Amino acid sequence: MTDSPNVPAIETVGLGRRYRRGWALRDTSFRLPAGRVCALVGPNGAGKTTLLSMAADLITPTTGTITLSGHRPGSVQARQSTAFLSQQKALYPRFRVSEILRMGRELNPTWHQETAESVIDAGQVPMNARVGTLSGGQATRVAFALALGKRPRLMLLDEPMADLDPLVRHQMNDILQAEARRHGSTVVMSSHLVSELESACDYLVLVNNGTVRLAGEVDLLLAEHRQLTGHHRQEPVPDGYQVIATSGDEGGHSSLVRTSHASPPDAGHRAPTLEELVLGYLRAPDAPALLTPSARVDGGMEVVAA
Amino acid sequence: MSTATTRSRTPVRRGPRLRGLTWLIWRQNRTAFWIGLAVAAAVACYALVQHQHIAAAVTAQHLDACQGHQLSERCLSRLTTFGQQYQFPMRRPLQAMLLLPFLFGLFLGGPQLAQELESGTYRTVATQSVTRMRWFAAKLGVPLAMTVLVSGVIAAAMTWWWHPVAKAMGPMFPWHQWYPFYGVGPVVVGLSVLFYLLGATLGLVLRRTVLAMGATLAVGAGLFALLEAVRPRLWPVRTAYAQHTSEPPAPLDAWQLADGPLSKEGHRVSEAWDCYAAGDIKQCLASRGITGRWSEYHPASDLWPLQWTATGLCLALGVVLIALSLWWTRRNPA
Repeated sequence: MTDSPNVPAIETVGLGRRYRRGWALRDTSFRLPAGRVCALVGPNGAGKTTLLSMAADLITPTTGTITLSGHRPGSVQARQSTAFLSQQKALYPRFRVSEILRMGRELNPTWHQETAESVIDAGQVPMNARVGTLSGGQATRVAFALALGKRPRLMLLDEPMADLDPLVRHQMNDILQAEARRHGSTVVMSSHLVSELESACDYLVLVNNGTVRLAGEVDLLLAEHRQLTGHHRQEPVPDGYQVIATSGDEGGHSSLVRTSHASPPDAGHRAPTLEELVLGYLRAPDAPALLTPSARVDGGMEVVAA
Repeated sequence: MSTATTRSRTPVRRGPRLRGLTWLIWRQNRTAFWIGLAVAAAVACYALVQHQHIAAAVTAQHLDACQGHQLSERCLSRLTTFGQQYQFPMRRPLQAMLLLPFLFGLFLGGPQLAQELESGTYRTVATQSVTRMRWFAAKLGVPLAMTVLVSGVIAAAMTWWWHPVAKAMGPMFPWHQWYPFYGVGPVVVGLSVLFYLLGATLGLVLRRTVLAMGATLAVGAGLFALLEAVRPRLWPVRTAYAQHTSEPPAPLDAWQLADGPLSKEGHRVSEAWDCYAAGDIKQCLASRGITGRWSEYHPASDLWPLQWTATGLCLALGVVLIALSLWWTRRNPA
């Protein structure tokens, strides 16, 4: 029952990975339901790449487990249904574009040539050009074609568009969204550019200091927070509110607060944008973790703030 | 879901086509593979032609009759002329054969895994549907098969070229020197396979192409020195004792490893060096109780047993390297 919506696309339990310099990711438990487009955000070195690399079976966990639709990464089922696009997008520079697609065909039983070719054609990348002679944007397009041609149920993208100009980035996003919608695939996209993720993603996983701080549906997470503007630092925060982070100077402060009741008590409180929410949690690495019910792992040891 | 129709823009070629990982590894190494195949074919053609020339010359000059312990003046001069014409030109190629294993090690083995690890392309392959172990097996196996094929053809060709000359010239073209020993026979294949695996393993561990190539050169040279040191002991040495002679009792075309004086009772005794300056050497030796000589040697027939043992040793080391690299990949998956 791989395609059952009840089986999460990704589930980690107590997942941790230690390198020689220390823990990159520690005791991380969360779920990503299938069919979501998920933003994976966090500062550099927070463990985003480590998390995605463990899902792609490029590194093995030091502690805990990670499963993709119930399968171990590296199992035949997980391999055939997962595509991974790393920052480097390393392709063989002496291969022609058509040979990269042939590689995809030879190594993946689920390969769909038309999907891959349509991605290439949309960017007018010549099929017989050598990969080494392509521009950064064109090479990324080829890497996308290789990933999408596999028709993955799960796409793992590790800042693949960081080096693209805004127009190409937009096109890639559109292609990705269209493919994901058409096949009901799950997408996990890590990025620094929160504003870019806002329109594309309906799920959020925020990693900071080596563990998950926020996870859940974007709208549910936003509903649990308020943005207080214009209040003074000395002013007491109303009951039931928990300040996550405050920014701004003496003139005007702006605080992200967590609340359990949904209605805005008075003026000056408003729903935060996704960017405000993410920035608030990035400023406060020690804020208590918040996972919505769909992101929680039963029996996990997550501390969920009331 | 989708229909199974898959349109391909590349024209469909007739004939056998490589599939899956085999295609990928062939495509990555095709320049090296084609160079290897072309060189092997050229060497094979040249050796075939040379063999015909040499066989004809042996017949025409009746060199078959010029064998044995005592060569007539005529035979000696004919063999010398034959050697100048046919043995001299093959000395450099036989010496150059020592480089062949290094070529496989440095240019096929060294970059094979190091380049993937260095450029990060292994991540692209590792996230396709094939398992890491299958990719690893193909990455080692396909170039290995090519190494066996190319070095095998070249070794067979060199042996075919060398053999009639060596047969005609006998002791005048010693078989046991480093050339032709490393230039003919199965040891060429054994060394090429070992050096390829050495390069690949070093590349896996060092993860840098240039570093792996340099290390392959250094470790390979060390292995060669080691093999050259143990080579006489790779097959049981024969011992001969003879009385009433001051000559070592080994065949003329043997690989003489050691010899010394023998007492009347058949015991090995130390040399009496000053006797060799005496007027009557035999008399002087006899007065010291030396009446014969012993000798330790490999007869010419030991060439192939020595070669096969060296080959076996190389292949055993190669298996160890494969096991080592498998263990390394399991331990450090990425």
